[in-house]
Amino acid sequence: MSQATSHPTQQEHAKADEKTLFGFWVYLMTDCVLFASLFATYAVLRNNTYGGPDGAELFNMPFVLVETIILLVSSFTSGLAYYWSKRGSVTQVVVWSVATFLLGSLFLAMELHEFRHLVAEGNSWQRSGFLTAFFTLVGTHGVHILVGLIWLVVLLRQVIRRRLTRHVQRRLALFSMYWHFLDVVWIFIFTIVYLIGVANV
Amino acid sequence: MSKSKSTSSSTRLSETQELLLSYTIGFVLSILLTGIAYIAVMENLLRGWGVVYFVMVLALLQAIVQITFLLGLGKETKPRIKTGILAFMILVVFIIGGGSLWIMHNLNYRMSMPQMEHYMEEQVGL
Repeated sequence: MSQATSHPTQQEHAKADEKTLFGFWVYLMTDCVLFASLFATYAVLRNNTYGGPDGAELFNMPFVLVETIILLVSSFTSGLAYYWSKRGSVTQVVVWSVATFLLGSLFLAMELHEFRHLVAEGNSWQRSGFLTAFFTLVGTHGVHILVGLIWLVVLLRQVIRRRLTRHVQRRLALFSMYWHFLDVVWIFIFTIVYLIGVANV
Repeated sequence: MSKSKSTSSSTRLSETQELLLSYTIGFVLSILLTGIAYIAVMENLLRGWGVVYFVMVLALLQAIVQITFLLGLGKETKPRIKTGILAFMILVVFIIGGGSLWIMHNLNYRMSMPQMEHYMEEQVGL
């Protein structure tokens, strides 16, 4: 903000925020390319089981379905938090952000449980090319979720302490974009890794 | 920051009401599409590769639903730059992802036993 001109107008603030939101969108698109390359790797290696088990043997489908629904609901609650930030209610934003955090944590906990079980049975990323690709792809998504959860905690603190300032609102918008995007990626993981993995082809 | 209020006299929804409706539609459709895909696979409703194409189409549909209703891409006003960047990302994905799959598939073929034997015959005259 230059000292020579007067304090930025409301409009100028809005434009600056728009640019940030747009820049973040571009980042999300590059993240999609990252995931696409992990998907391509998985597609190439999915039958390289090296004598070990394949997806059909390993995946607990009801468990994965529950994970998927949980993440979907968390995407919805994050949207609600953003909605309430536009309506100006700090309480509601906190409520729905906490809900998002709890659901996201539950998703991650379930995923870690799945990973731990696989490793315990000897089916770690070192077992086969298929499992390497699986852990890399699903694990990268999980890391994104973890980062999102940490971000959400920090953001929640800001919502409570600073109330819904322009900056906090912008960050809530950015977060909900990020969280929605993670759910979109998960749709493809659920479909390509799990559903197609257990389908009889 | 403008707060949106609903006007009882008009049928037009306020900005925030539209947002809420958008989220709800997106959420419900996503659950439905997830459920259909899951049931199709688990109940073996389609044979062979049919089920693969079916769930892939459902996944793409759900991605479109989520991008439209949850990420609000449809509401973008002209120039639709975000949509353009999305389209470019899809192009890059096609090139990198599709290209990798094509190359690896081709490599697998060239390294297959029948093909290797063919090379041996052709090149060394065995």
